[in-house]
Amino acid sequence: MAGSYAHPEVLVDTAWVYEHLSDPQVRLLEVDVDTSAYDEGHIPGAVGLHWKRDLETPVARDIASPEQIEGLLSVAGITPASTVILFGDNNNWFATYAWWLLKYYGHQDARIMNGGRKKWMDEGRPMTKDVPAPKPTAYKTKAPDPSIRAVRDEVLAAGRTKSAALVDVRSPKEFSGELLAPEALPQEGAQRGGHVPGAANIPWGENVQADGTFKPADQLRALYEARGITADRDVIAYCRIGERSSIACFALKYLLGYPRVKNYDGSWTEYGSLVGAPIER
Amino acid sequence: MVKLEQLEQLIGMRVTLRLTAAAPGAPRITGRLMGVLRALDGAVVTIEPDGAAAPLTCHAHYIEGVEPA
Repeated sequence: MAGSYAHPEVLVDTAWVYEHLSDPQVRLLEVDVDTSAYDEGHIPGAVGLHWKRDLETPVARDIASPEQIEGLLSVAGITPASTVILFGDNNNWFATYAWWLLKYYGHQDARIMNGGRKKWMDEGRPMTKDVPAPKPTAYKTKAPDPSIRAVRDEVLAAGRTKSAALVDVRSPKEFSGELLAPEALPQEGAQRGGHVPGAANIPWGENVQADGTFKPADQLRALYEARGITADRDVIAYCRIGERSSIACFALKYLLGYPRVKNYDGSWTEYGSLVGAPIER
Repeated sequence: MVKLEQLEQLIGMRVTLRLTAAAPGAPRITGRLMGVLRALDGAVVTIEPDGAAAPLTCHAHYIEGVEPA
């Protein structure tokens, strides 16, 4: 399946997950854009996370704190040695964001289920409404890994000096400034529309095939190299709030093996509201 | 922009996609339409162009029209 991916171990297919449903080493985490999806049915044994409540800090705008992540993973019965499989709706938008958070906090073996919730359901695999009650653990995160997270000043510098290649994974209408958010969502979150100067628009959906699984490595490489996103550069991906861009980071760093790839979780909702920040349309 | 339902009815068939001027690449692509992946922020179309070594993806935003080829 994974072919010539640089790190094929980070991607599992639905059949692998099915075969490991009873494996105590494997823990399943579902994270959906539609937060009601888990309650409507999920893979047996999967623990549901709520992207808004669980993956952000409750007051200040920031990613979940180490203590939040430790609480979540402990309740889910996860230890630092667990193999954690993440999946969700919308082709793993928030599942990949949660995966990125786990990597940021040093979890060794976190993987994505290729094709996400939709592929599992399309294949008629088992679903349940039973909520699992795993034996709690006392998970401890490691020191955060700043090499995979971009912050505002780095993005400003990249826009001004081209110190890093910028990948804007939003839809073309968001990139051009016609929309501030996906068409189906409220148009809020940033004061201005457009994109960071010099960014390449490579919508996240171009990373995947018609069935929602990732493209083979040669096709991914061709996609990015054609737009000037090459392995010798520092790369920063962004979207609106950092979840869609996690998919590009996953593809670039783990499937293609680009060494220096960061996710800008502040993304357009931060950049598009900065006073004085240069914007292209 | 083309309607997604129109594209979905043509999956599996040989089609010509007419692209907008803003689209990256050629203004027309002819080949087998492999699928349409819908998401909250739009759809991405996969097509296997005639004679190409690999399929191409294109955001539906850039597709002005489609007809059987």
